[in-house]
Amino acid sequence: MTEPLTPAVFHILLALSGGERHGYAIMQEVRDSFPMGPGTLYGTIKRMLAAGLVVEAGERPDPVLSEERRRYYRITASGKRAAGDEAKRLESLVRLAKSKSLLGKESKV
Amino acid sequence: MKLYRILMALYPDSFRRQYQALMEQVFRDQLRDTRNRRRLWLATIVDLLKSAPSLHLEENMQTLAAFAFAIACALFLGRYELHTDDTGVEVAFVLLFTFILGYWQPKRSWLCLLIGLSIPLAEIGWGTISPKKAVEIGAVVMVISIAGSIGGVLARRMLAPKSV
Repeated sequence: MTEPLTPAVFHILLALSGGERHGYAIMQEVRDSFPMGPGTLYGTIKRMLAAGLVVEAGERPDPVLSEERRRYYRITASGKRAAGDEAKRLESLVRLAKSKSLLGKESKV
Repeated sequence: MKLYRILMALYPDSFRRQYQALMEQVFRDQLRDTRNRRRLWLATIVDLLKSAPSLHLEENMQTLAAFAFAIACALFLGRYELHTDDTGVEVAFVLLFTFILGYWQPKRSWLCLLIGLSIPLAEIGWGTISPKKAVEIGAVVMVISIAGSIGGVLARRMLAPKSV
């Protein structure tokens, strides 16, 4: 099992699990569950690059947004492993919360 | 946008050099897509106040850790110098320590000079050689130190995950 991840790291990994994304696309993907500003986003990406959880995947324009070139990021094998471990950790926490009836009888997780 | 650029000054220099353009691009996207500019500005300032101090702390901790490592290596080498005449082992230690420093902290690899200085300074301190001789030895050790740290920096560049 890898070390527990911070919410920002986990959300960025989740966004990148769906494929390469640039910064703004990551923010848009996670905005409902974990809204973050540019400082948190790039501060976290900087740490994730250093930890080898993500890599830069070149610069190109977003086909939808504009002609402006954007830097894309890609999840690495160790990033996928860390996200998987975190998901399992959260799953076991949810099971525990359910066993303590914290989710209510009608909650389905 | 001008105000955002001014606020960016609150981030550490090295972070700004790497990410300012990308952050401005993201903020421009946010400004374009938002329906409530006032709320966006508030969220951005809160984000800045939350993220800038931790980035500064991280930056300072890295510098502190590099200094601590360089000083520990220098003290070890200075002490070791007293007990040995084996130049080969000393050179190996200098190369090893400066290589580690260069690999681990490429931006602070200049601290290899501190490691290199330890040997001539120790020689003078222990009174084993004259200052003139220490300068000669110092020059050689400095070259070895710089070579070690450059080796570390290059190894990091070669082994680091490559972007596509």
